[in-house]
Amino acid sequence: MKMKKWISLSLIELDQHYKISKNRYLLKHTKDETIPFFALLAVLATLIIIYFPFYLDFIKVNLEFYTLKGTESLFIAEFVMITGFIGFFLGAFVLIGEFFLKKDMKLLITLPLKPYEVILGKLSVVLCDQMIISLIFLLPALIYFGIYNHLSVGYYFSMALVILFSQIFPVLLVLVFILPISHLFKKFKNKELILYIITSIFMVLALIYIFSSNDIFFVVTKNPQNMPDIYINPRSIFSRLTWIYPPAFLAAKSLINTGIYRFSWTLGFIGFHIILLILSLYIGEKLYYSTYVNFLETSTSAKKEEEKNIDLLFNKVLSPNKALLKREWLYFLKTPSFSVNGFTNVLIFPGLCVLLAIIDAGIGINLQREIKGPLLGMKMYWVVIISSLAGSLSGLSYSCFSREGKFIKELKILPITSSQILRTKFIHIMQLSSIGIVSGALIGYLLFKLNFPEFVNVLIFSVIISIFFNLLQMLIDAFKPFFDWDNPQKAMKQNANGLFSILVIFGILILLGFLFYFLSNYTDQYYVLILFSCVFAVFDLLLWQILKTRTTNLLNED
Amino acid sequence: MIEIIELTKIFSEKIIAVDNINLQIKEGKVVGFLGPNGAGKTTTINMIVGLCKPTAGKILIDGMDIREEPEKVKKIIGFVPDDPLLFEKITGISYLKFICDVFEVSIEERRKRGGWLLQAFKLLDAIKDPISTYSHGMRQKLALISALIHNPKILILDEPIVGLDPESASILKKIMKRHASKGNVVFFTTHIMEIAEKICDEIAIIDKGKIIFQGTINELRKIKGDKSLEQLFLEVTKSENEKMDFSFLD
Repeated sequence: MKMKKWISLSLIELDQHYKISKNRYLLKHTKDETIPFFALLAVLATLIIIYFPFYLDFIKVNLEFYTLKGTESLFIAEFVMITGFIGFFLGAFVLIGEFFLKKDMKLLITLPLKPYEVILGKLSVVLCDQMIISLIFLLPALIYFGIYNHLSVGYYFSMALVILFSQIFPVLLVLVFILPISHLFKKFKNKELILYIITSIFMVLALIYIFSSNDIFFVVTKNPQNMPDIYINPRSIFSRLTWIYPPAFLAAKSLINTGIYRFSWTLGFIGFHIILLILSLYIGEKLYYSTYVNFLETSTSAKKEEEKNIDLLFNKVLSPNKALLKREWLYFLKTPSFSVNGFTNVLIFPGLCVLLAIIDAGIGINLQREIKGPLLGMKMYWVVIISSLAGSLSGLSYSCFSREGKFIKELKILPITSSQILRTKFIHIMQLSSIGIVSGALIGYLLFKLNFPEFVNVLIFSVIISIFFNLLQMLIDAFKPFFDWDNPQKAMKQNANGLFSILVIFGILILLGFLFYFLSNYTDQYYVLILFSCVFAVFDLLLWQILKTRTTNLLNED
Repeated sequence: MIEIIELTKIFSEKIIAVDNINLQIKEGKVVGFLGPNGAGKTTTINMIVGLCKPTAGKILIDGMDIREEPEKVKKIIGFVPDDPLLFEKITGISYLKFICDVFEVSIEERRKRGGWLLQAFKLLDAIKDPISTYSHGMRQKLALISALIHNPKILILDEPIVGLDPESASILKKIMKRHASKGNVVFFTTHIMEIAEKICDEIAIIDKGKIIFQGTINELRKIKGDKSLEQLFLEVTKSENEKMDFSFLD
């Protein structure tokens, strides 16, 4: 492939993905567009300021620990591996969206481009997206390592290469998995959904794999008595990395060594990625186009005569409100990116709690004594956190308008009021959220051994605060909805409103935790929650009114 | 009746899409809205149906202002946009049922009008298939059926013929004529002059955001001479195609 062609294709893909030309035009012509841009920058800056000291501390403690044990290479490997795992979990759905759901393939497939050329173009977009993970997690760790050990320029050169290549392995791993799987199921009716489900299973299996190999990493969190066993022979543990996460082994080797050895290991590191890339492109060349063509096609079925009966076709009448709710559910369920994300999100917090309970019971990390003790003092609050987060971080509320995309026009031209639209969206969100609220409360109830009145109190407050959080996120989305997405994955996962929402929700929960702790000194936590319920019920009503006005304005906008 | 009074739409200082236009579209008439690309046709239509807000001026539909009584106005409008808004993952019949529910069409009316329209446009065989399996023409037919199924008093169509096969196009033209003859309003845009010539009782020509003519085709001929509508259109929009040199194609 000519380099010029690849650069041109990649630039076009990146331009379209990040809307560079469009945003430049908008910034030039409509100054209003600068406000959300700077607001987003402010949120990111706040997050970095809050997060960085903690992360730096984490890096420092880790490096000192590994230096003390004489296993600095494991420090590098740990961070390369963490970055890779995060990239793997966050990148899988992004990759599916980019490769199979994005509309631009309809155009690209008609151009005189070979499949591997298109794959390279698309990979550059995914890798650019994923690079943010390496910049956040890996870059500070490696820079700190260089400064701590007073390393030469050669180290920083190899470090730059390690960072640049750090997302290639996880992304290609997902690609090598997805290409044959998508090919296998290309003729199926619900192929998109199948692809999402199988990828989710793949991710769960990867989690189990990581969990089963945790005697290498995460030792810091384990019982200190076990540590000497692990560090009896650090060299053999380090060698085992070759099989567990090869890039971490190669990256550590290239950064720990000096001179010609560093150069050789760096070449090995690059060569490993190039071989993997060639393998992925080879598989892609064989499978990608033929699979994608099937993703574009949808089979029609021959109808029996009785199915053409008009009386049977029009057999049921719904009220406009019920019809709108049905539409909301249909559009949600029929778009796998929405439904898979939505259902996963409401179950993720209760799931993590169950996992924690299993780990606690199974390998005995002494949660009772060290963590559970102080936790139990505010047990009702913790159950509220599990339940309300499960009920309000579904991703549905901060994307309630964004998910409409171009169909916001449909809502605008129908003879329905903005209140009807808002009510429908709210009911739909709360119906899904209730799964998270109830399962979160039940799991919390079992974990923290609440009595029945406490459980009811927690459940009532969780519902009230989840309503508040969901309304708040809907309001955030109503102020700046993201309609202009080209694949539905972006409406939920790459929506800046989600970032705002998470920041606001966690801020409120921290504030509430402090208030709860403070008030618990004066009265029973049971009454504190009743007080909170009353206050937030008023907030819910106020927020509803504000949201109603904002929705009306939004639907009246061009 | 549609009354457009001193309507203006400004997108930015440099882009005045619709510039102080006045139009009156009476009941019982098929009115064609003609103009070159980017003249302001779709923007005007979008303002009538409530998809975008006028910068200045008023739109009255049956005496009601869409900004004051949007639901009442929308209830009497049947609209087909230039790019049909159809959610691809659902079936055609699911979409039609949704439209009927929202417009509160009775079950008898659904069966009568829906059945007739589905058969007329030959969409009955595919109506239970997902919309994603439809061709462009089939999507256009579904959009037309959903605009007509609730028997709207005002029918607004943006480029309705695009993508239709000759038989369906002919059926649509007859439906438009008949719909208007029952005292309804049919307002549509087209770039096909023959169609405008054949079915329009009146035409309105817009260019660079301004209405440059409104009246019957005969009235236009009286002003500009006895020519075809295409020639008349090119003349009033000051087209320069006659002066163009096409020799580079040789």
